[in-house]
Amino acid sequence: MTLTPLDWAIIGVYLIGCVAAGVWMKRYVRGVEDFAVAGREMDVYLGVASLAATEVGVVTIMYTAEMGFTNGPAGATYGVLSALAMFLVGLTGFVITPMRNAGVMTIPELFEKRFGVGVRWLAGLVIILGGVLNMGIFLRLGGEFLVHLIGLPQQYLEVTMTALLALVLLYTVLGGMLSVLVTDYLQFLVMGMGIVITSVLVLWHTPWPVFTQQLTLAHQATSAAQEQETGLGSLGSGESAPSAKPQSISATTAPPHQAQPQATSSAGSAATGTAVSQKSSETTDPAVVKPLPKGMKMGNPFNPVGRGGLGWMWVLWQAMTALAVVTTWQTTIARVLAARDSKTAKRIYRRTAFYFVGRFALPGLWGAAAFIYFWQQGGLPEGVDTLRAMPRFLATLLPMGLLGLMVAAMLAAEMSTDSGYLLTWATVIYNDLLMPLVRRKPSEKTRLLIIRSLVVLIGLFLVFYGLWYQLPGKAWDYLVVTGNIYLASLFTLLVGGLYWPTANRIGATAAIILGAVGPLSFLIVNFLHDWKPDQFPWKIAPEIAGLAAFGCAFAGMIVGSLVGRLFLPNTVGQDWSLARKDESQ
Amino acid sequence: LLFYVGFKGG
Repeated sequence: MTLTPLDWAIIGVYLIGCVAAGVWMKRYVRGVEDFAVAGREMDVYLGVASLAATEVGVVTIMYTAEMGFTNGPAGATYGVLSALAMFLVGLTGFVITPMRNAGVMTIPELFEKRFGVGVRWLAGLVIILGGVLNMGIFLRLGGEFLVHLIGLPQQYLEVTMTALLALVLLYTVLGGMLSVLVTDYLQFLVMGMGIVITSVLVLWHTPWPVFTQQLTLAHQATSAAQEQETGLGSLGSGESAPSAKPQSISATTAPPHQAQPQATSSAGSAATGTAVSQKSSETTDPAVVKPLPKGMKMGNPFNPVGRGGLGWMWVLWQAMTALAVVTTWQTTIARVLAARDSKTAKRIYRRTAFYFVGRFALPGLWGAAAFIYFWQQGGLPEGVDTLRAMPRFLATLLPMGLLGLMVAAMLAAEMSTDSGYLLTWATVIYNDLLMPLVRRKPSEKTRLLIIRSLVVLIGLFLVFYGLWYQLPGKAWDYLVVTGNIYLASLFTLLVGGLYWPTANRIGATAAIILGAVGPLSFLIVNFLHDWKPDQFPWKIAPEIAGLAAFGCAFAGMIVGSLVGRLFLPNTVGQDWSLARKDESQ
Repeated sequence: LLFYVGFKGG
């Protein structure tokens, strides 16, 4: 699929408008507070647009589509959990109200008031380690999307993404958060248009009754294949045999529109032939009678905790992660800290919450539709895996003009995420790693120069790490595990520090160290297993590592604080009155 | 949200 002049015009107008708006905001930057938190001038709907645009990047769309490709709509379970977590936090003000009232620029700055400068520095280091590594795969996956959507030659991937990053750096370095907010608003609109139109097209191509029927059959075929491979004994205790029979998926000589009722009834599917229109049944029937190609499997498409689903442990881990993300993830919290007051921050959360369902469910829909499409085609093309199947599918679906809009939408998603993340991590390095080490505060001009230089340096790191690093497994696993390096420990510090008077710096230090042990042990043990499987037969499931991280961090905080109470009696009962006092001054 | 946030955010 190649771009037409109309497509190029749409992309060009978007890029020029966006960069011009971003550069224009430079005139309002007078100091670090304007640069890092937009002078705390952000109102509700600008906050909604900025939060949504920042947290929906191309990488988000790629990994959520991959979850849809492997697990159907059930792959969007995290989207529902994160929306629930965000709404509840927006309703109660849990963590975000005291944090905004403290008047800080970053989360670690809050820790200094409670646990001392050492904990602030250590927390800043952990945030940077988890956050920058997490961001490491953004550029490459953004480029891969373009490669598979518009047929961008692979050799141009690096130079294209470097040029895109240069545009982002231009306005982020000049205008900071003020530029990020205005460009996020424009990117929210372009991205929203692309997502809505693509979702409608996907549902037009694969109507919902066909979609559900095909995914159910695919799951039954997967169960049957696994049963044949491993025998019933490995399916788990107390589980019944699958209702699908392998022979019901095998080839038949009946024509497609006749084969469907026969195949569905023998496979035990709830969908019936009459529920599907003549047109759609003719276009999708071949999948009914085709076995699943190699490398294509479908988990339980609707029930995440049902047979063949993601499992209770996984859902519990994702629920903990969702709560930790909405209260601890610095790029999300940056919008809380840039809000005019805590009431505005809570309203932003409540009004953005449901957007996070679509953030997983809509690209997940595209991914699941891609599964059905490639099943009909007899398998994935060479060089296309579960992560890259969705953009390749969209390339066959989108007509002229809409392809240009989709490219502009994905560039918007990539740019808004990159700019928000670049600024956030640069602010943490400046505010929590460098400034605590400086005895005499430099001038406003020097401080602005430092933070702008840090944005450029992180951009350079991204070019070299992000474009040359090869992803070893599922994108979502990589993102959650690197994110967990800091999510578990900092979530524990925030909850303990804000709501448990006994918490002290010994407990906080123990929580930071133990919280990182789970994700790091996951990375090391699984690396050893992949390296020498005979000597290291065990692997750690990501949900076990993730839940262990939260358990270890909370245990570290509780035990460490109780032990610390013996040595630091004067810190017991210290609360956030200090922080509130700072704000009122 | 395209229209509502589009108008209010602008």
